[in-house]
Amino acid sequence: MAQGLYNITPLEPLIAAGYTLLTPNFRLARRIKSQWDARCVAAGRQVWDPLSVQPLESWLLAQWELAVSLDLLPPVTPLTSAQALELWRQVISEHELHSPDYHLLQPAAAAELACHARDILRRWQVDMHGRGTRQLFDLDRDCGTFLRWLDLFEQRLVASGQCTLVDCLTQLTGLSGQIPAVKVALLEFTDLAPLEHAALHALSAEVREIERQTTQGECLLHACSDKRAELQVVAAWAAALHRTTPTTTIGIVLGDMGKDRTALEYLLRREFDCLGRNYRSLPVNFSTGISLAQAPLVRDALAVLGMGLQHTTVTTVVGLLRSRFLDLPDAHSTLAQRFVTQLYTSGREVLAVSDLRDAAANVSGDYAQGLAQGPAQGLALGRHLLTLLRMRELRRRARPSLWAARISEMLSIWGWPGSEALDSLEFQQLELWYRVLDEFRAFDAVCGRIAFADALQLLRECCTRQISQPQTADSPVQVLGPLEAAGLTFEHLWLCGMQGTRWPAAPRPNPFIPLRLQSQLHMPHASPEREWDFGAALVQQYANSCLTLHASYCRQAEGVPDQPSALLQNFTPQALPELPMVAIEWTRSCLEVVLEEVADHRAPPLLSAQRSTLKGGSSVLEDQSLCPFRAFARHRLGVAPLGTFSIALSAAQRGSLLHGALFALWGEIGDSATLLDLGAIQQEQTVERAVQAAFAALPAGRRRTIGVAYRELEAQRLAALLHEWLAVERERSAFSVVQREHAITLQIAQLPMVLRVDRVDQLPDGSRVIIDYKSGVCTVQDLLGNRPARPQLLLYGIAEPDAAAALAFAQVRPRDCRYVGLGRVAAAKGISVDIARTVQSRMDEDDWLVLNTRWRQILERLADAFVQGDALVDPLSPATCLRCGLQPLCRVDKSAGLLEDSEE
Amino acid sequence: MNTTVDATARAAAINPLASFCVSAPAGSGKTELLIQRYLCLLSRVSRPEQVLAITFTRKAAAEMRERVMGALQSACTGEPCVSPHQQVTRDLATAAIAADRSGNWSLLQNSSRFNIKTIDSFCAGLTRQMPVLSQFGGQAKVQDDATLLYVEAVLELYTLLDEDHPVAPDIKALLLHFDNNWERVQELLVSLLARREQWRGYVGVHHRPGESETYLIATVAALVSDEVGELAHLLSPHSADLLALLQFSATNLSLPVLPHNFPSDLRTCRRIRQLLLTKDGNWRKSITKREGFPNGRGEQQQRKEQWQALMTQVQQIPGLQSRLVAIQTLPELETGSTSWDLVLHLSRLLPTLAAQLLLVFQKHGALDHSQVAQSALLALGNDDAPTDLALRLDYHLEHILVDEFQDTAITQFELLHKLTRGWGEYNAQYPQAPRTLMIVGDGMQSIYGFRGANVGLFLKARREGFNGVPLQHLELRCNFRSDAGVVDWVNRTFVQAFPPQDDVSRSQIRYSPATAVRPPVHVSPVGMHAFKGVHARTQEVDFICAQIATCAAEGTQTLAVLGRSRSHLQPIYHRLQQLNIPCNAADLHSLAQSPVVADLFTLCRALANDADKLAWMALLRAPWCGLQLADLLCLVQYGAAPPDTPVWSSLQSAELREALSVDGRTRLQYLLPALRWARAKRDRLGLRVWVEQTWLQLGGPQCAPDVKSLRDAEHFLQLLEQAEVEGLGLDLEWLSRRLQTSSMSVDDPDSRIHLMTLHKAKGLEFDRVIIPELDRLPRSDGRALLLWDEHTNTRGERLFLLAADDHCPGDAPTLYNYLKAQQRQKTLLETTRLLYVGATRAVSELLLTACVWWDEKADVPREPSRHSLLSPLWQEFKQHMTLHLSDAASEPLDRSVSARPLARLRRDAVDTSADIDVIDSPPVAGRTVARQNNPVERSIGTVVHLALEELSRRQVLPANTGAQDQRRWRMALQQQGLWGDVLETSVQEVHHAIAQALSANHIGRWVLSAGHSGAHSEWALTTVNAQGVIKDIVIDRSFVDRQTGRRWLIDYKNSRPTPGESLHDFVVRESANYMEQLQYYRDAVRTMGAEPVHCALYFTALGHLHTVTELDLPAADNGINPCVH
Ligand code: SF4
Repeated sequence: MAQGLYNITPLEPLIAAGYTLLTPNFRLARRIKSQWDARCVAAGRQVWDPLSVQPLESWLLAQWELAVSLDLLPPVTPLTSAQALELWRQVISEHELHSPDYHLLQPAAAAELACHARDILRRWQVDMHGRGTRQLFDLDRDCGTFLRWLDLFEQRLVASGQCTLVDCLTQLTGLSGQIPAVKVALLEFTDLAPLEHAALHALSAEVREIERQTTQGECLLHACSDKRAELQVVAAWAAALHRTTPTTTIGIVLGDMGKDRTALEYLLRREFDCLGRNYRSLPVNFSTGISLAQAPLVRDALAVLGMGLQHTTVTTVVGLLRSRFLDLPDAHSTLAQRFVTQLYTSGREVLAVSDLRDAAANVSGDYAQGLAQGPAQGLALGRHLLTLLRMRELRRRARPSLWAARISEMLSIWGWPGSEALDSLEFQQLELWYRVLDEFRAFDAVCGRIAFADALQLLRECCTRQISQPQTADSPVQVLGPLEAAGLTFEHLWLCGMQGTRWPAAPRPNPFIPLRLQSQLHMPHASPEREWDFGAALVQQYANSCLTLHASYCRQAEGVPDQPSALLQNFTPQALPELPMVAIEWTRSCLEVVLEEVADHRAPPLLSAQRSTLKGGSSVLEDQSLCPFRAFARHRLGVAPLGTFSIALSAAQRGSLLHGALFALWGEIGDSATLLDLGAIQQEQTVERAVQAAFAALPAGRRRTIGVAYRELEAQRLAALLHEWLAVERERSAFSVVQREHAITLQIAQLPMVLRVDRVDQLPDGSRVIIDYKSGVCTVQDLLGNRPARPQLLLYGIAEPDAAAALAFAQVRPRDCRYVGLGRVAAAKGISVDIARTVQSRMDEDDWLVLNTRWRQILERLADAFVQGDALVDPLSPATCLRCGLQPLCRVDKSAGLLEDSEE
Repeated sequence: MNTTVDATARAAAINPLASFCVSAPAGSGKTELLIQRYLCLLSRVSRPEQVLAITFTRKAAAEMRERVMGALQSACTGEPCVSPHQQVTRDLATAAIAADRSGNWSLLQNSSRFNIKTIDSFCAGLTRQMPVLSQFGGQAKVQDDATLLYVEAVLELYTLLDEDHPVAPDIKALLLHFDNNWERVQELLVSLLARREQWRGYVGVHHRPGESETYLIATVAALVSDEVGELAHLLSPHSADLLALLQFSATNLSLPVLPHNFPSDLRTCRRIRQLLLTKDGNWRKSITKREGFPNGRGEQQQRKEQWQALMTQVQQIPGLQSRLVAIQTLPELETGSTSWDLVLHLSRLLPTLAAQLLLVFQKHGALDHSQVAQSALLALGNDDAPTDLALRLDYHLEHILVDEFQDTAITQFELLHKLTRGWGEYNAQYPQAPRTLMIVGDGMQSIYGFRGANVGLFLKARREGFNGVPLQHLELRCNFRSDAGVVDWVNRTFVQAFPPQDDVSRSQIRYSPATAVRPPVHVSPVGMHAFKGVHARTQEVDFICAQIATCAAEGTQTLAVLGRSRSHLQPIYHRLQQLNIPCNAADLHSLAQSPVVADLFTLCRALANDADKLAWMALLRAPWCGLQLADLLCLVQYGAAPPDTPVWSSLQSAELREALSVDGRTRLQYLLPALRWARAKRDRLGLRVWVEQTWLQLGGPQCAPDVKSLRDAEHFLQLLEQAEVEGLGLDLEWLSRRLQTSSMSVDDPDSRIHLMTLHKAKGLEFDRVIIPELDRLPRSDGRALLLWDEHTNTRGERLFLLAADDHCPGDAPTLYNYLKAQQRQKTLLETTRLLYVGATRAVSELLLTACVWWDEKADVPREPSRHSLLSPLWQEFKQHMTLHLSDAASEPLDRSVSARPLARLRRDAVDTSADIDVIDSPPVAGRTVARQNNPVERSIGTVVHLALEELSRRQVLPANTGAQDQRRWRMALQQQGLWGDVLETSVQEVHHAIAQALSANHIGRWVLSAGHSGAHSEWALTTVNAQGVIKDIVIDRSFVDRQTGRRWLIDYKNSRPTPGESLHDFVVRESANYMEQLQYYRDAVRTMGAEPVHCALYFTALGHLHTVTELDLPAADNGINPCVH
């Protein structure tokens, strides 16, 4: 069968006799035409009449148009199927609005079903005005409701002088003999609906159904272990055949095109070696492509249009910044990096576009020396958003056609589709985009004036429906859906996914048509018998159209065992070897190479010039103690994980709120005597003021984004917490607060440091207690050992000229407020003076002063290690890593810590 | 070896005239039984769909379908039967085949006619068939994990806070109570949404808050009165004594006197508890002044004796102690208390939350299984107005079989209830052909309480049946799986470990012993090993691994190590890795834990976001580059660049690269081309191919530690494929979630050695089973913010309670504490059942190991924690364990996270003359975007074309157009998408163009005239050009002018001069534009005729015909034959 994909020899007499050839689909029509054209070229002709071959449906519609132009039929406007669907949606939601007893979860899906139901009913020529029929529908709620919708739908059509495509066919049936009749031949039809029959016979002088001569080839059946293995076998098979005979025609039928296409394409590329360099020369045609909405060009256009709405997400913004299709020249600048980092730090994933606009317009370099342009330049992103803001008409409703114009205008603000030249695929996608805009415009037919959000949604749906696929020349290998392949001829054809559970399919009757009616009239998908006949006919058709027919199935899908389709009973089982899942070259190169190992735990020492500019204060030593690598990465490389999103304030932000409130509180109260004198109402007011002060210190942007409710609640919580804390303070003997957030500078092992001590209390005897506020759980253990987990308190301690009298964490936690610490005076409950006992598990020192000396040594060692560039990956405990976030960089073995995780 | 113990039950189970509840313990061959009954029922129905079998998993459904099919097939082929048991199946299958033939079912061809389904797919089918009744609308995406949707619903709920919604105060109160921690409250509400089938009946969408409140109050009251009543019942023989004693103590403690109808209230019960039990729930040994019994003589002495006597008696009352203990935790709800307020807030807030979820479902067109089930229930109607299902399905459901009923949740239960409505009456009418139900389950294997399964429903169904269809209880006893030795041990051990009685209200199941069918094989089939000492755990692991090693080396037996959680299996897995023993440990590690995947993910992060400095630095540090610390430092500190310069920009600087070490420079020479390539190819290749090719160029596969990890890489890349399919692109959030939930590849999927969790092992069997680390506890989830419980009380009513953490101390009688106690109790029971599931997986050998703590003083092992798996079998274990002492010298497991050297690819210096900046540029189409911008003009053009074509076909050209024509144009313009005002003006324009062409003496009349010869309108031709390219063309108008004998080729254009452009300039411009096209037409036509040719443009809007004289062609010499059309 060297004729290629369709043997037209048997058709020649028909062509000569002037028959119009009708096919079930475009693909076959195109195929036959190109076959015919090839013959004409071979016969040396330069110009000839186009072959009259068409899909049945378009031929019928052309006849309808002809009839209208001859004034045989009244001119009504046929809606496209998308428009009809939109009309259904409107009808359903209208009906729903007036029927309190139901509220659909998926109105759009219902519209599709209803649209389909009407189509079927028309095609099977069911008279929906008949009393009996209507009664049948009214027997149950679903069909009955459909009937109401249908009535509304018809009313709408009539009112606006519109009809659907199937209505056109219906009108044709009444035309018998009025338009010049032609002779038609039907190719490869398995079933025709009664309406199609009627229309054909009304219009044609003669209808011939062409029997295909059968060429029963060999039928083979392959079992594969799973889906992937199956696709792999198919890809390898196709490539091998193609290599031996490049002209051989190969068809691959994918049962589930949507799901498996991408995987098969990849595997074919791998087998045909078209992954890297030869990416564009894969000799394979796919019958479907991707949805236009997913094409990068259009995806970015839609994203940009989304900026006309109220909210967007950080992820979208990051996506825009890397787009090739927008005019954002500074997307890769330092400014942009700073801007993105800020977005992450602000902590909200969903942003108001207005906030985004301000942020992008105002991002500035406070590192003056680094930025040639000077401060507060703002990003192009911000400027575009400002321009967008000026398009006030976005806030008004309009018809789709008007929106189409505005949308183009919006896109031009962003310079879309960019200044870079597009490649040919992108160019095709751009053309498609314009076509979609036309389609969108035409929704004026069914839509009134709609808001921008709805318009964008509609446009997005249009893009999603529109399929983009590279226009390529016919390739020897074709990948097709089950129906598309029917009727085509191949030398080799492979049916994938012939699972017992899917072939034949389980019946899927339309729920809006009474089942009895469906089975009586043999409507499609109505009964298991019909599905079986349908499947069997299809397989027969495949078998007739090739030399060898392969079918494959997998023994299990997602862990569930399955059988081959019963339609394949006559196929001969054949075992093809399964291929390794991993590409052989990968395995080879993995085995060939031995990695080298270098000990790289020490960075160059910190130069003295760099020491003074070091930021981070006490956290440098804390990090050094927790994990030297972490200190190096954070404080010398300046690496920190991007912020994680939260819906409210982050723990750190709440922590600083608490600090701020306590700062204000003690600024007012001052000492224990004042506290004890404070009456309930006064305390109430003082706390209130402290809370207000703390909120005032929050960055304005953040304050706005958290919302009023959160702010109120947080204020209430904070106030309650402060009262709880003051109760702890009231228990203490006399003290006065002498320092709050006091900055001290300190040099420790060559490392200069600026520290901010939360609070210093003085006791009547003049001794000083250093206090560090914590909102988490603290223990004295955090201060002990050679690598104390929270060394900052120790730092504050040694910064005191004479050792402090006590070091204490003020643990300010709801329902668990207390002091935790140690020292030589019991300045509060929870501050231990029994040094020996308190430290015994980790240290030997039993005297306060000796302990302080020891601490100084420990801190000096940590500081020294940092200065020297110690960057060993050595977390204090596995838990340290959990909250660190630097794993990708330090490459600590993740599974190592797991051994511990549930040891109680 | 006794197959007859349950022969009657097995025979009865296939009786099609009755309904059953079958208890089928582990290994009892219930699947075969189900199949037999299924076959039997098939032969009694008129359509196979009328027998519905519901399984727990899709896998089980597939297996059952396969086995039924197998039975039918062998009945057809008539394979010989080897056992009487098989013969039973065969006979039933033969009958079914007969039914198949007579009913024309073609079952053998069409296995989809078997109505064997999971509950989820059955419900999905119902909703599909009833889109309005189920309020579903139509097919939707059902998500297995709908967490993101729940999260969104909660966030939507939060937005109500700023909107003064009626429930705002409730949300606020709840948030405030939980420290305004929105994220934790979010988690809490999310978990509630995930389990909403349990509460929606009480506080769901359609409930008014007041109703819920009343319901909850009533429930608590009923609960208390039930318990009190139960206690009163137990104590009734002793009430006189008790009353006296209580009065006595009350007087002494000056407490209020007790009522006489005793004991009627909770307070009294609590006092009784105090009288009889100590604080921690043990029987009192003595009684003192504190309890109101001062020392003394006379009455005091006498009362104490009376008390003593009473104590001896009441201690004999079975179940009394636990009842008394329970009394302590019974909640006292005081309105106005925090605890109660919280419940009220929740009950007001939940309906709104549920409503928000529906909106989210609607918005995304996606939903969860729970919603499907809920909608299916809705579709079936309520008892007052049931849906006529037969009408919707076109058949009546006649028989239902349900497997694994012990794991049934309430929705399934309700579904069965609705499906069997009216069956009782039907059966009374047709006793010869009744509708039947069979539920099969094993309460002892109920281990899914945490997922909402409620074993109490199994007991309830067994006791009450459904809708007047009673269920006969059949118990299977035979165990076909395990050797007699194992079965005996299991019987002995678990009869003690399980509670003695079934108890619906406490989800309590007693043990029913099994009878072994297989003979004993091993002398000691069950081994129990205890380890003690400092390195006990290490030793235990080593011991287990030694057992595994032996098994792996010899024989063909399968062995499974079954852990309580994944983390419990980790030490064993790591040891096996060290010993190089491959095993099948699926699901032990997530894909994210694979180092190769981690690096790939880093690459994706860097590609996705230039500003992700961490990812970029990590990219430089990964094995394919392996930049050293000094170079990394140099890179970020070089020159005066601000510290947040994107790493990628820094890398561009040649000057900076010069500043690096030689090693660093070399390494970048490898890295940079790959990354440049990646950037140039962004969005130009398939996602997977793009990332994969970049990875390959970086040297990804070479960096993999072993071949197995390449499978992880492949898996990762396949996830990218999937992201592409779902249209997500490089979505890091999605990807990282998928990495967490996907599993790392196993060493060897075909290995006989399996490591898995006990839950996963359900339904499987292995020759040898090891259950390790029995002493270890599950990870504690911390203190739940919210607890709820759904249970069935002694009267078979379902109760639902819900409480939020009220921060009260643990012994306060709050609802929260009560529920907490309940939950703990249920978990303990389930722990025992989990162990039972594990132990019954073993065919011939069972090995149990644990570390034990030693009470050195008494020199006995200490009692293990009640929450450990060891606890239920402690008595047995203690007696028979082999004790292993770990000697101090034994090596502890290597757990240090020691500093590992930087592993990286070797890189030789490349020839620096090679320009690393070279990349292959993307294919560029030199074309720019050309497009007629005005869509309206375009549409008008099209319609004018149509109209002209139509006119040209008329025999007689009219002088004018009619109303009918205008109607047609209007329609055509509408089809082009023009509506409203634009439509009107467009109709006018068309009219103008046509009227102009038709006006008297106008050139248009000549163009359209029917008087020409060889005339065509919209003349379609197929041509082939010199390059062999086939092209279809359409020529608007062509004819041979009779007078001149010239052929005209005319193309219609509806363009106009731009403002200010002269007609001449315009015409020149347009002819230039279309020159090429016209020439092509001309050359094509030339081959068909020898006439001289004129080409022209007809400007419809202007009514102007312009002959493009440049293209004039004289008559051809006779080389060309005119073509015949
Ligand atoms: S993740 Fe752990 S090992 Fe890595 S830097 Fe952080 S603390 Fe250190």
